Amino acid sequence: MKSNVMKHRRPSPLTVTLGILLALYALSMTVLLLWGVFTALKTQEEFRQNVALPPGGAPWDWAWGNFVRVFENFYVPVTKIVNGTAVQQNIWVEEMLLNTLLYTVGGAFIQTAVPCAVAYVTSKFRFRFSAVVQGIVIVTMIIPIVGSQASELELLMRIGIYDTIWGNWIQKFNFLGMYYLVFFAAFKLIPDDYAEAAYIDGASEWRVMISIMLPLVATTFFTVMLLKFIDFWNDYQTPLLYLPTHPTLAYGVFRLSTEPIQEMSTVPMRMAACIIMAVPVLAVFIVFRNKLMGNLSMGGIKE
Amino acid sequence: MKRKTKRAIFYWLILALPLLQFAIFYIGVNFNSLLLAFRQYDVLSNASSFVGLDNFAQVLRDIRQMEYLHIAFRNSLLLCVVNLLFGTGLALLFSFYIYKKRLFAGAFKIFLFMPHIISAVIMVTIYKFFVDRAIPYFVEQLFSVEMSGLLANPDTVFGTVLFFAVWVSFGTQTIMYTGAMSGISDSVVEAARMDGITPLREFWYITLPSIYPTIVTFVIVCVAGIFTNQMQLYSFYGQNAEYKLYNIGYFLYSETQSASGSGSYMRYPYLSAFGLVLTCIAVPLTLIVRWAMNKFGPKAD
Repeated sequence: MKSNVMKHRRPSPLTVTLGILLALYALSMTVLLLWGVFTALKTQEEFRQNVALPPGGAPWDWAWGNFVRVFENFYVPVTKIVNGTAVQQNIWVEEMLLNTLLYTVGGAFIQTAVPCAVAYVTSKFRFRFSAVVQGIVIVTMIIPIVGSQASELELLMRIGIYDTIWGNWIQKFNFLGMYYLVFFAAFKLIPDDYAEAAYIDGASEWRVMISIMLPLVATTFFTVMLLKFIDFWNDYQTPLLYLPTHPTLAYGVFRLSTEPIQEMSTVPMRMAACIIMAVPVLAVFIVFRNKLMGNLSMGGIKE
Repeated sequence: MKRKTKRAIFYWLILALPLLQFAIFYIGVNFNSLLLAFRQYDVLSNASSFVGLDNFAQVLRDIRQMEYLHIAFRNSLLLCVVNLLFGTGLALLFSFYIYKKRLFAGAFKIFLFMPHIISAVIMVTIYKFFVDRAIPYFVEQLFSVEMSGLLANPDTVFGTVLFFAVWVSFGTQTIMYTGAMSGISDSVVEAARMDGITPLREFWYITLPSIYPTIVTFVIVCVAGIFTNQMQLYSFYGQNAEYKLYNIGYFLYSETQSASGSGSYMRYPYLSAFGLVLTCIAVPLTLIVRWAMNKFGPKAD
């Protein structure tokens, strides 16, 4: 029996208190999310009469059509500059979905692959500069630089990559942050013998990295990429600031929440849009929850 | 070609683009921020000119005189303290419960992680209609008392937004703390239990010291983010939050957002100067907290 599993003992006051607090937390989360789902399944008329309880009637009589109407009516008006003239354009849900996939999958891959590759060479190649790279990562994590977004926007506009998806990928092409440390720790745990054997057989550096080392950290790579995917799927502030005419679904739901368009102005329709946006990422979570909530170890940054 | 040379070429090939990106988008951006802070843009031509310390003088004048900035600083500080006391404190206790594999620990872990999965904008959208429409409805039905929505009521709006910010903040911390706790030696815990240690004492004397480096990391991240944490205010209100709800993170983001929307560079120098002033406060504060936590915290042995 594992030592941290206690059986046949009366729970302590601390355990009971924490259990009650966590149960209340779970209950509050459940009630809130269920309220959102049930509201999405009401007509506006029914919502006016029944704000809090589940929709009346049999489930097949509920307003499932709200979800279809979201696909038919959900758009975000943006202002594009065409030949020096400002043109108002509606971006519909299909285009938002495409933008979301490009922003999310592209960004997640880049922000996983770059720290992984940099962590590989700095952990496995004994060059003095590797310590400099590690130092850069630690220092940029500890030193909070505030308010550089204005400068970044100006720079992006000047070099002509502002408001472009590929420009955003370039912005994301960095190795800084916690996941560099996660990959560094993962590569450090791999003995050098595997690579040495391959070198003796004549393998190139590229082959050793791609065919031997990367498969050994595949689980970490996949987990980090999933976490990044979820982050970017849910992120509306970066697209709002850097990709104003390429709205993603999160950006669209934010606009809908703060300045609703005519056809989507009712609470049930807004809830339906929220549910549609949450479903893909919830599906990813349900399938990969053990990986996502597993132990990514990086240690602390205490000296 | 010698193997050492091949390795060096490979090493620099892998590092070249990330380092170039770092040079442009970190060093370049922050250097540009410094330059911007000393310049001013013309409204019509977007041409810039050197103005010395004028932007800094304006920032300091605003910080001294503007009521909404006083409120914003106070709220940012309050948010940081509440996050540290309640956010981190509860996350540690919840992690201990999960690490001990008590009743429904696995299910609770999923619930705590849920706000990390579902977008903040979705959570906020559902939450704000729930507290403004459903809760008054429930209260009216149950107690026959009329009440206004929690966000509509000026007396409860700040507490309601602050509660949300803490309520959705446990996920990542819980994952990291339980991960760190699972690395505590079983023999240490077992020996303490033989001596009859209570769960509270075990938490205080064994668990917390054992995962102290992870706690330090999160506290530093929290303090370092004192001027960037927005308390989800932008998700609640977009550009239209009331002044009394302002915090510095929200102020900076909404100002930058509105400046970029205008298509003019005019506001950027002021925002850069503001950012530099805040950096001058946040950097020493973070380093002092880090030094103090390492100096006065429990030692590994």
